[in-house]
Amino acid sequence: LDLGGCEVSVADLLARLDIETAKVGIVTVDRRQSGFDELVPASCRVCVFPPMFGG
Amino acid sequence: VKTLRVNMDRLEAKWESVLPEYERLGGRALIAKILLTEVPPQCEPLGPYNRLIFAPGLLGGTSLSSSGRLSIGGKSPLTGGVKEANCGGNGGSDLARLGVKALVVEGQPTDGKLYQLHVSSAGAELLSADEWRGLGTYDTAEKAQERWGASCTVISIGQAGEFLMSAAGVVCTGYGEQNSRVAARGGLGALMGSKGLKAVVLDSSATDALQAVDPELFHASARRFAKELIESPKTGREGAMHNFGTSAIVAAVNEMGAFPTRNFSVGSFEAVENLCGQRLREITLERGGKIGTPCMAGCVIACCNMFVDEDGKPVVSTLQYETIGLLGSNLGLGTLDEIAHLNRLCNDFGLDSIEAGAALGVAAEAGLARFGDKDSFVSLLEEIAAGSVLGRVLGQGAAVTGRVLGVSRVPVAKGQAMPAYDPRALKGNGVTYATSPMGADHTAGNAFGIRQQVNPLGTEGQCEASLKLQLDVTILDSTGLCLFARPPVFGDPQLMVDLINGRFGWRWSVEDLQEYKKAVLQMELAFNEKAGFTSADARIPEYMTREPLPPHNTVFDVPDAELDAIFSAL
Repeated sequence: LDLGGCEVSVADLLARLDIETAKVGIVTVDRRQSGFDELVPASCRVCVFPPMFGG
Repeated sequence: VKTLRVNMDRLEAKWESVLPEYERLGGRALIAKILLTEVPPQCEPLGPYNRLIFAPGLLGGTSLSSSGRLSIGGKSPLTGGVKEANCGGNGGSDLARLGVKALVVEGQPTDGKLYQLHVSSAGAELLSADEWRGLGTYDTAEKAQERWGASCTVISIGQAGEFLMSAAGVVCTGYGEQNSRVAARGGLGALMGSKGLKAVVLDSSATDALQAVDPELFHASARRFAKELIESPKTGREGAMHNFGTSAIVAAVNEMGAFPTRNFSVGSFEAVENLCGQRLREITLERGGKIGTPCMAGCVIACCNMFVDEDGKPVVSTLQYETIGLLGSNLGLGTLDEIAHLNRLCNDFGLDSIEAGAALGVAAEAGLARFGDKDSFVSLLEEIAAGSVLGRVLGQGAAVTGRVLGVSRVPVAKGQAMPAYDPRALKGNGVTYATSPMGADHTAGNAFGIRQQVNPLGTEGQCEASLKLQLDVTILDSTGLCLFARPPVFGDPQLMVDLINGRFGWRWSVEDLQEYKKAVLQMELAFNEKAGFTSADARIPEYMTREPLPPHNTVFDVPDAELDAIFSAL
């Protein structure tokens, strides 16, 4: 996703992707768990997972 | 409600009144109490003084959703300490409905023969099962159901249990196609084999769901419990657990760098997209398998699957996260078909897929198999089933395999193989592995669920978090509730109190519940201490404190002093 050089938060990014935060369980940014308020650095890998738990 | 005592010396089954000190205990709590009361802690696990205990939870046999798990326990042949392992399926509910508070198997047969125990409303009897010697658990269940009826529940061991291998589990049939639910951990299949018990057959067809002493309170609480599970974003019909099962977390754990790969040498697997929950769902449905099916009647979560091959033929029910990790990425295998094949063999031979997967990973590191080559691992599993010398080594689990083969990178705690979360990237689980009385066991306190509160890669707060998790799961394991059913009762402990009070007419408070949880851990720790455990047993393998795990390149570095102090507040 090209953010056009803008600095956005995880929540902003999810909004742009039309993903409701209520339906998100885990977000990782470059393999590290991230909160919704954290900023997304340029050229990073963001993964979004639904609510879940381990067995 | 009675205790059913089966004496294998005299080959007799007797019904006894429940001892007063056992009355308010169930499942894991009852097992801990029986072990502490009746079993010499330093006894030989495979000898006559150990007990094999089957115990439904306090809420088992009722109409409550997800409450029918069966606890099985004894002194572990694998760890040498206390052991409770539980499984889904019909065994817990059946035992409870048959009026069995605990089935306690004592002694050993002197004739070296194998037996089956048949329990129904008419009573209990021991019969020969020598004709089933050498059969896997699928064939054993089929033979037993041919004899006793297709609706009977069969709890059995395979070849691994007969060979007294410490990686052997106990396999239980379940609802519908869920014919292979495994109380896998700790070598309880070997304990069952040491008792000469090939199978326990339960016929609860003439029984009904157990009634509550306070039906109004119980049913109102049970309805609320089920409603919250159905409406939960995790466990409801739209939730990940129902739609993907435990495999839902494959991609997430991999992304977090904790997914064991090639004998726990890396924390992420390059072929994970082929193993993730989405892929499992896609190919299962494409081929005519099942997704979102229950392992026990009436479970509203229904997280199980029936994995089928390309021709639609059933391979294994259920293919689960831990197995995908230990028999998949840990062995460098990148397709679900390969993993399902190995899983089927493990279930049939009566092997814990975690312990077997870890042992195979160690064997591959020693050069006995090749990472990524399924056939090389099939050959090793077949050695186990055949009882060859090599198979008997592998069948003793990862720790023995490492010692015999000269491999020092062995992922175990208290001699038990780690589940599919590398403790260097999920340090809370490392604390649980090290300190739990059960050894390395994710179900004893899985920190994956509290990753938002405690940084998985940091050390701060890990022991406090693990202790809370370890306490909380004791009540699930003692009531027969599935781990996945925890959101409603963890969110509001009064709901658990109401369920218990409604069922039995007790007057427990939330404080009583908390004391109950503490008492379970205290009993288990006391047993282990008497068995000879010390702080040296509460450690993660040394190499994991030295060798950084890619991709985060972290080690397990929670200080020993914190591990040693974890239970000081109990």
